[in-house]
Amino acid sequence: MTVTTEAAVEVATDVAPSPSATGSAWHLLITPAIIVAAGIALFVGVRAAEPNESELRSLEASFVLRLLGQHISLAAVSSVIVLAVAIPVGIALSRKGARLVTPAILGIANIGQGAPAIGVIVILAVILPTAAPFWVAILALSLYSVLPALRNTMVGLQQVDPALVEAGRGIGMSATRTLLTVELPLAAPIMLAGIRTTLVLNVGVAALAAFIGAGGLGEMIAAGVKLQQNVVLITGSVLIAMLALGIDWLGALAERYLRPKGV
Amino acid sequence: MSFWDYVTSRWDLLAFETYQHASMVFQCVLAATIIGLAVAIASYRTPWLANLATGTASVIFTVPSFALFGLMIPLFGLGVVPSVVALTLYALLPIIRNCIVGLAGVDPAMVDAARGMGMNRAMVLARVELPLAWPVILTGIRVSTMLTMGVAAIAAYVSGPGLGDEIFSGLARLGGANALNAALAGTIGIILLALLFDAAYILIGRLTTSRGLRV
Amino acid sequence: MSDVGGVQIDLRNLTKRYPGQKKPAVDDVTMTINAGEIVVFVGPSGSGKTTTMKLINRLIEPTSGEILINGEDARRKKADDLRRHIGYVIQAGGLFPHMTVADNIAIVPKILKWDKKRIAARVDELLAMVGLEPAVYAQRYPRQLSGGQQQRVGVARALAADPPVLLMDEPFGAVDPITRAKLQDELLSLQDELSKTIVFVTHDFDEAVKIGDRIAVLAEGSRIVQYAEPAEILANPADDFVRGFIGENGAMKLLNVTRVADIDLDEALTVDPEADAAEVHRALADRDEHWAVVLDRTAGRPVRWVNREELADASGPVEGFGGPVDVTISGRSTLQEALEALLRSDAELVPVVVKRRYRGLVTLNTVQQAIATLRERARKS
Repeated sequence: MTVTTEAAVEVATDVAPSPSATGSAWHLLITPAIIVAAGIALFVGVRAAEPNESELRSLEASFVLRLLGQHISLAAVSSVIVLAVAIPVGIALSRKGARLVTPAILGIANIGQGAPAIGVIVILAVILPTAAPFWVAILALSLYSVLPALRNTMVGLQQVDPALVEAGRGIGMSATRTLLTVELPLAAPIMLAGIRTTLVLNVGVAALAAFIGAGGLGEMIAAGVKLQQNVVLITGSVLIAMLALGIDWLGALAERYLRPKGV
Repeated sequence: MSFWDYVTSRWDLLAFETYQHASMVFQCVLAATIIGLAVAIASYRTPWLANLATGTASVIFTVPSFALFGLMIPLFGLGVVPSVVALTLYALLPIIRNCIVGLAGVDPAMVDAARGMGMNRAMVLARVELPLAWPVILTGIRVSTMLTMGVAAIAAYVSGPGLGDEIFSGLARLGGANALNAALAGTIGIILLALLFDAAYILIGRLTTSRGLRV
Repeated sequence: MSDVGGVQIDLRNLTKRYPGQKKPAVDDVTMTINAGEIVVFVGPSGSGKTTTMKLINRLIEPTSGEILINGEDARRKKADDLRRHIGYVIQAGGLFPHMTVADNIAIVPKILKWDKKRIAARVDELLAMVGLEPAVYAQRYPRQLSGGQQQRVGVARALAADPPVLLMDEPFGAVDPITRAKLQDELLSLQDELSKTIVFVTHDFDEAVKIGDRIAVLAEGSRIVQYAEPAEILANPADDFVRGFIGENGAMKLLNVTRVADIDLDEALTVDPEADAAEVHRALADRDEHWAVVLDRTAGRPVRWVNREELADASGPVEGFGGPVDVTISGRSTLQEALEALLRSDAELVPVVVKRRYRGLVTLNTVQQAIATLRERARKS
């Protein structure tokens, strides 16, 4: 029978293309619909709640946009760093000589999922008291999401049929050429899914950067909780959710249109 | 104060917080497993329902945990309830997805054989489909537990229980004495718990998966 | 072992129509499957042969028509109850990989709430019956068995509650040709003992010819193009569709399907072991024959040969003379096999046995003559 192996199933859970990537184009319309609906509900809800003056100050467009900008740059910068590290290292670790360490890396990445992101952020903030909060947050985000990204790269390359690699070498392609023309294109769907996961993860963790004064939309949640301003709290939460869903949707689009045809 | 001194001096509290953390994660994953299995069993034979269930769970999963906790406060106030609800929602996706993948992945010939022998729907599910899908389902539960373990640290921010308290008290004392010790204690404690749970799952997997399914 | 033979199955105007499809998958099929016979549904893929078979145990519910099993309307029963009394074998046995061999076989008896001892005894009995040592195989898991062994367990599982009817859906499709031939032989010898009513689906015409007491050649919509004994189909194919299915060597295949028991056998004097030798001698002289066969008194098994010359001045029981019978041919053997056996042995005359009982004699001449007749018939058609 065809119960998939455990590794493959973990892939199915974490990094496999979600229904929006593999299903019909119809799926791709759902997420924007949810985002728009959430936006409208938020707008109407905030209006109906009749925020007081101090709440209004926290909801001012320029302020919110600044936080949004900070949030996006936190997520974007850390994602670039993570991918710049994880993809080459992942490729290197999936070469023949390094295959022995693969299970160890995968195991650590597995447990790493259980580590609390907030813990990593706070520890770094304590250790680096003089550093700019923005870069402390970037370091924390990068450290936190590098393992899953590394793992996705390795899993993506691992699931490429070895027979195809052999075929590539067999017709006289160099190892590098085989990597570029056979392995990477075939690993692309899972690697793209992994990149998407990394982006979404970083958007989420960036919300915690507010705790160490690095800004981002998390500040609205923190302020909302501290000052018991539910309107601000909800606005912050919904905006972060919308941002994450939006990034996820962009990732789904990328997965759908960037994957090599025929794979 | 060294880290070791910190841990020994506050051993009782740390042990209590660890227990709370483990118990919260366990209960949330248990609830998510029950809900996830029920949803999967109700939907895996109807592709559009299965897609709807997975899609909904993955939208919830995409909402960053901090925002999800934030959204619970206006609904449930502070404390245990918002923590548990948020964590359970968060834990749903890996479980629902793997249950559906597992159940839908059972070889149709197996179901055909079971039906042909006169098993009714419930028997087929209990004796054939669930045991065959079990390794996949268990993996989903395991992944879900790992994710919930880290996310549960944020519960402390909404006054929930667990080791997150240590991390946030480290944050509150930023620059002061013991800030690092508290943050380390919380973080390492959670990672150790994750290791412990992972080991438990390997053991459970061994004990509950038929020898006939092991490769 | 409880000895439930087969029962008759009647399909009357059976139709299965799927919503959204113009043509019915099974279109107004009427046929009678005799008790204790192996009927093979053979046809190209898409002919609806498997669908028709699954209508019998209602894995697929018919749109209209009747299914009578032993005269009882199968559609009046609860489907699950019905299936618990119809054995079902699918490709590769359909064994559950998470259960041991013993657990697999015990499924239906457990559902039927047999007590534990009875189930355990039955499992051992069935394993022995399909040629698997219970002590070795009962606690193994399916993945620890070869394809052929899995298939044997599949058959044992289907027989567990001793159902009168067995449905087999391309059961030997997934094994290599040598194992397949062996499994076919084993099924035939099992059937010799059990006499179940077996509906067997295959797309392999040669398999159909070997296994079937009767073959139903099905075309699209499960239309019965020809329903007859294998020899009849080979000798007189109903139309070009059937001819196409038979393939090139219809005449040669005929040799492989006509069984020794089906041709006119030679006869000889049969005597009791304690018959008086002088009397036997006289009887042989009267019939102007040379040989007599001594049959075992209770089993009717041929045990000795005696000849007239030897008995010339003899007296006393005849069992003291002649020599033992060391070659026999099973009535189930095909003419091809009989021919080979006769050519191999020195004996001119060989007794034919069916279920170990004496049926008659064959000589090389008899077999060759039968073959010639068959060839003649095949050429004419």
